[in-house]
Amino acid sequence: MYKVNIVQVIVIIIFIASFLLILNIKNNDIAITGSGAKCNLIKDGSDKNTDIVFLPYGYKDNQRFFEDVDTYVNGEFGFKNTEPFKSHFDQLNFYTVETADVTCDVLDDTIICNELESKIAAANCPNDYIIVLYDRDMVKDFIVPLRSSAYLNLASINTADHRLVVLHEFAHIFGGLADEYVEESISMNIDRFENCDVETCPRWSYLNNTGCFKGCGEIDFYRSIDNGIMRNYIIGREFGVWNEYLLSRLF
Amino acid sequence: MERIFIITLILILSSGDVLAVTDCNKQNHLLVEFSYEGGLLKYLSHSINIGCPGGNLKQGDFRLVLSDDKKVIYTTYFSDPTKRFVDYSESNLVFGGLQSIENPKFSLLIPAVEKGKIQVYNKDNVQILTANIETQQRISRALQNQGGLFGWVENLLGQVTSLLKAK
Repeated sequence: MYKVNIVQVIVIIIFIASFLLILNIKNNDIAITGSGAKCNLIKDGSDKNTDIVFLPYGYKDNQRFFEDVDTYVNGEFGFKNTEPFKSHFDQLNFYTVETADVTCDVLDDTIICNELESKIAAANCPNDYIIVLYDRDMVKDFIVPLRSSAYLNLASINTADHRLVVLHEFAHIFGGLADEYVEESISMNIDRFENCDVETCPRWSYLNNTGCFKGCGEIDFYRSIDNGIMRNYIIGREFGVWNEYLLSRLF
Repeated sequence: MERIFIITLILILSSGDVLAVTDCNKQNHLLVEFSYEGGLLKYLSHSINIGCPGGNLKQGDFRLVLSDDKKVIYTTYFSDPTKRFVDYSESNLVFGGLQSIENPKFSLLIPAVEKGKIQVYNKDNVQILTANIETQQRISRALQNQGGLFGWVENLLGQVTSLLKAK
């Protein structure tokens, strides 16, 4: 009769346990359970990383929420395929909390999700930035377009808008970039927003492939790209060299 | 027997990514609430909760420093809480702007400390707020120990990994 000692038994138990754990991992449901809500890891980056948590609002089924998140992360207009996030994609972690208890209001046609509730929900995951997806019907939005918003580290997104609106809002909260379209309501301190400059654009004039176009928040300020994502995310498909630099240096 | 041991080691190492993922259920944070009135930042309250604190953000109008008697524990930046960007598109154009918010209240999630000091600096590196923090509450970790086989397995692997690291 083959005798087994205690060490052998322990090693065999650990072997079986490891095997079961691997099976569990393959479910792609890496459980980081929080206080009542589960954090799902969507995409894991490196150790030195930026953690982005997606929260749902108004979704009738989770599948649709996950599809939207996938589009915003991996789609044509998502983080994975738009510079500078494309080059730093391995430094980005994405999470979802599908059962997040977050309320969003519409004030002056602007989606404003509750900041405190969003932060409490996002705390179920490692969290640097929070993106709440407000599930909005395209037809309703055609009749009454709602505004997405960016406040502190929280972006409240109208899903009926163009997909690039997420990167536009993210550039506000992550990089502190200003809107580059001109609005009368915008009155800004040029020192605070580095993607805008005064005439002749001394901030980026030394860089190739940059321009100096009039209008950046205010009519008298200048921007580095004619139609970039910060000016018009319907037409623009890139942030432009200067804005990419401003965002890249934060990684 | 040696083969089983080697395979086991490989399995443990390959599961390292999972073990390395932060389990927010086993962390605490301080939820600190502030207000910004008449150009003055005010500390309102704090509470200790289960969950991950926010990360160390690298840009913003204000810098928050959390320290204890000996050292700086945590630093992060946050933007002007009186400003909100709003955007929408229509007919191939983007509109919106920068909304002003009067007397906003807002919160930050920072690492939990028993005793510490919060200091906030503006862009000119001038200290605009200091608040002493003390927490004596006990945290109830309802889900600290995962039940079931996988919870047991994870705990076991965690212990094994700790022992390996210790050696």
